[in-house]
Amino acid sequence: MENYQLSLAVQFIFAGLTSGSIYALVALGFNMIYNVTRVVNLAQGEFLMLGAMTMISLHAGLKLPMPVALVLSTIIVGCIGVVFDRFIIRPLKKPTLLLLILLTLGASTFLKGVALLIWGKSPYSAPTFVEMKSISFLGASFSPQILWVIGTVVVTSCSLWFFFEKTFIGKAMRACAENPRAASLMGIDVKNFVTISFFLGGAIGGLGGMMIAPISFMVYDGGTMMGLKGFAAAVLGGVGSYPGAVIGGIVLGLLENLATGYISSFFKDTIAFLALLLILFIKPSGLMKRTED
Amino acid sequence: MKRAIPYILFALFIFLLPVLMPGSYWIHVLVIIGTYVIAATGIDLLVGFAGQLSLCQASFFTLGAYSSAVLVTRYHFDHLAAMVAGVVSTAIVAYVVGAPVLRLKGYYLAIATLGVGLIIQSLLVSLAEYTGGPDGFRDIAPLKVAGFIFKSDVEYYYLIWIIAMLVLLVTRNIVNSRVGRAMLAIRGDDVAAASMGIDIAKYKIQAFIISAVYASLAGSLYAHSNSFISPQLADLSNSVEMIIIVVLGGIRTIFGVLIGTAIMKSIPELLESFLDYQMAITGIILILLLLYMPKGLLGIIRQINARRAP
Repeated sequence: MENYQLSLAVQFIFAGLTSGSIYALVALGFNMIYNVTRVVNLAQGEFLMLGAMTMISLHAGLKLPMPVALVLSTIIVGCIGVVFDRFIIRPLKKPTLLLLILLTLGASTFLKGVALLIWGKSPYSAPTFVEMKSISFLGASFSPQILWVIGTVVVTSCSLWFFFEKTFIGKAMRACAENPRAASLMGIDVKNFVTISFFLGGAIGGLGGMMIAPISFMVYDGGTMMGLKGFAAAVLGGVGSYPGAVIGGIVLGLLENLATGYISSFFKDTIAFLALLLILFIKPSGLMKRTED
Repeated sequence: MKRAIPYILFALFIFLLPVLMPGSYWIHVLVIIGTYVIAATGIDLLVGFAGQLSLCQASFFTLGAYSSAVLVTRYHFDHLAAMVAGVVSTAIVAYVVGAPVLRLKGYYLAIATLGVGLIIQSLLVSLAEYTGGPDGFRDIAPLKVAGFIFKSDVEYYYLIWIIAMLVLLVTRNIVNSRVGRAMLAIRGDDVAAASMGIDIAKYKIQAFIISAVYASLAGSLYAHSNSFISPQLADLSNSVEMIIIVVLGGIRTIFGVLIGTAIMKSIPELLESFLDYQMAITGIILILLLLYMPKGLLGIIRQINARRAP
């Protein structure tokens, strides 16, 4: 009996780490764009959906090998991010928070609508990246895909942190958000860097979708809830902080699976926001926010 | 007196409309438009004037709808009493939630209200014993007030549009009063407003409660006139739609809500035969509107008028 309890707990924790990693990837992409442009992109979840759908189409439809499909669809979603910036964000003359939130929500509706036209309402799934038997650990068993998901988060967050904190170009990109005018006077090509940030934001979001495609089904509107929870993770960790995004995502993922598993399914979509509200009331700047802002 | 003429003409137009198009399906659409005008007017007050972004208006609407449906059907409340109970309980929820949430700003406020909306929606789904769960609530009795039963679309049309016009007038009076000016000051610069002696917490929560009350009232009316409600009414997209209605009509114009609601609620009717395209088209309309007419239709009309007048 005790063994059963233990393996159940391990099962919940691994499920939590998996969905937490996905929220972390959404939050990383969100922060990536926010840190360079101060744009609050609520369509990040749609990049996730587009990543999964594009990869599945390339692999199952065009019969491309999985690694090729993975790389190609990362690039494709990155390019969608660039188009998103060029035609939706950049034409906005006087960006205010209200307009940006509405505009990115509008873009999210549009992307969902287009996905509905391309893929219809049926759910799609992808095979696991490497064919392996499911892993057993302390009596719990789970898909090897989990390792891919967690690995992606580790690699992405570490490289983002290194790039923006330690390299010259990364610091230049951060300067774009602090003061675009001063940055361009210092010889920084603000417009190009904004384009790059949207490419990376889209690519990271898309990657998140591809990682979960083998674990769960993806539908045309399947990215929205994950996008909102990823946004909650970013706010929980402190908007703009990369370590915060990972911690926020993992915390939400674990809370969600443990609360759903042990208490009630009512918590499935609500615990993320209950936790968020609680944190905001106690510490409105998030868990990991730098004190200087 | 001269300033009242457009209002009187508009009221006349509304009263004559069912006579001009008897038996039309559009009367039913106009009932829905009137209902959402009531809820969206609250958003213009809260978001437009007090400057507090709220993404849970549709949840307050749904709370009102369910209060009426559950109290009337399961507990045999008088219809009017159920509506009042819905309004009062929604106001209490708005007060309890608003007191901590409205301390937040910017995207923190946005995500917090979004969370509140989702939690209310999930509660309605989970309390399936009372609410019918995700399938919704069917066969809600037609509204009965003092022995009179509202049955046809035309009867609902007059009821809902009279209430909608009263709500618009009341809101216009709030906005032109001391309270409205205090709200505008908070939107402009809350620190400056506070140092002028304005109790910003008080006015923010007042705006939040008034807007929730409008939403709840609209929800109750919707429950009776539509006879079927479901938790989907509280979807985030519906809360967003109310803000879009306000921006489309012209934020801070109050009466712009009429134009915004009429357009947003007609789109699905007009695109009925292109069901699959509806989502993409709605998205594109929204993006274009926000990019190229952020002042909204009535905002633009007023700007042109102001330019013409010396």
